[in-house]
Amino acid sequence: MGGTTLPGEAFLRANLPGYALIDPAQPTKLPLEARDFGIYVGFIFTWLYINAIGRGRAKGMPLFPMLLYLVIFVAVMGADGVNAFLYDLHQNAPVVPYLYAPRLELRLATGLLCGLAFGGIMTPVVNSTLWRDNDTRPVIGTWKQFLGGLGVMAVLFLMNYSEIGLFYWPLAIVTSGATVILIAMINMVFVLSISGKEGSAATWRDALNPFAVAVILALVELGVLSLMRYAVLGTTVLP
Amino acid sequence: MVGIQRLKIAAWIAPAFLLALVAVFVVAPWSMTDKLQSVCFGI
Repeated sequence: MGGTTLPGEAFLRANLPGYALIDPAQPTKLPLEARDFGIYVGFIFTWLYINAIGRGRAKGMPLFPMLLYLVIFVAVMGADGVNAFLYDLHQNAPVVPYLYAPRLELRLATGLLCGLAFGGIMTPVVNSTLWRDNDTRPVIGTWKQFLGGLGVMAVLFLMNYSEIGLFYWPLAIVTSGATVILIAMINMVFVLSISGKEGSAATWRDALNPFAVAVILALVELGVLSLMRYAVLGTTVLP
Repeated sequence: MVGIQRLKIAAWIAPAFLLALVAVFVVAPWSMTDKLQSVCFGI
């Protein structure tokens, strides 16, 4: 992202002190590629959206037809990923078939749909393990709420796909934060279950204790994954 | 009394830890781009 030439951008860059700091002059890669961006950032924004519509502590799964759509979204992302893998294999072994040439916009869109699915499915799992409140409502209970979630993903799609430099820092910071938070939330479910403290948090302050432990575990896990990648690929930049 | 004081201190450990983590990340002596990239390096 960045290095864009929107109307007036050159003028602002030349005359507004500090503008170059918030809008990279050279194209700069986000911390994650399009599909992973969609999964992690899509997840965190779905979680924020669920909180914004007042279902932040709801423990019920999305209603059946919506849950089915979410499962289909994961499958669609998986299918696009398998096709991209087959396409890569095809470059070296033409006998390997593939359906279509991978496209960045499909990669981003299917990643975001998967992020929406992760948010919709994981949030009630985390809430059931964490909160004392017995809010049994589904996290996504109406089609209006479901379409609202899709709308949030559409905005994220446009922000990323536009490659406008002004969005670089907000999206880069959210991407790295979402990576730690998503892994920490999965860890937190295990931390609470193993320590036998399910349903013990009444306030956000109570929730911070298991979350802090989960963040430590997430940092260790991310560190191990980084070491594994470094051992295999070094600092090679992936396409 | 001592027990209540301990509980009061314990309530601050997690938020203080998380804030310290963010503060260390922000002031660490590398470029912010590199630091953000490094978090996701293994993904």
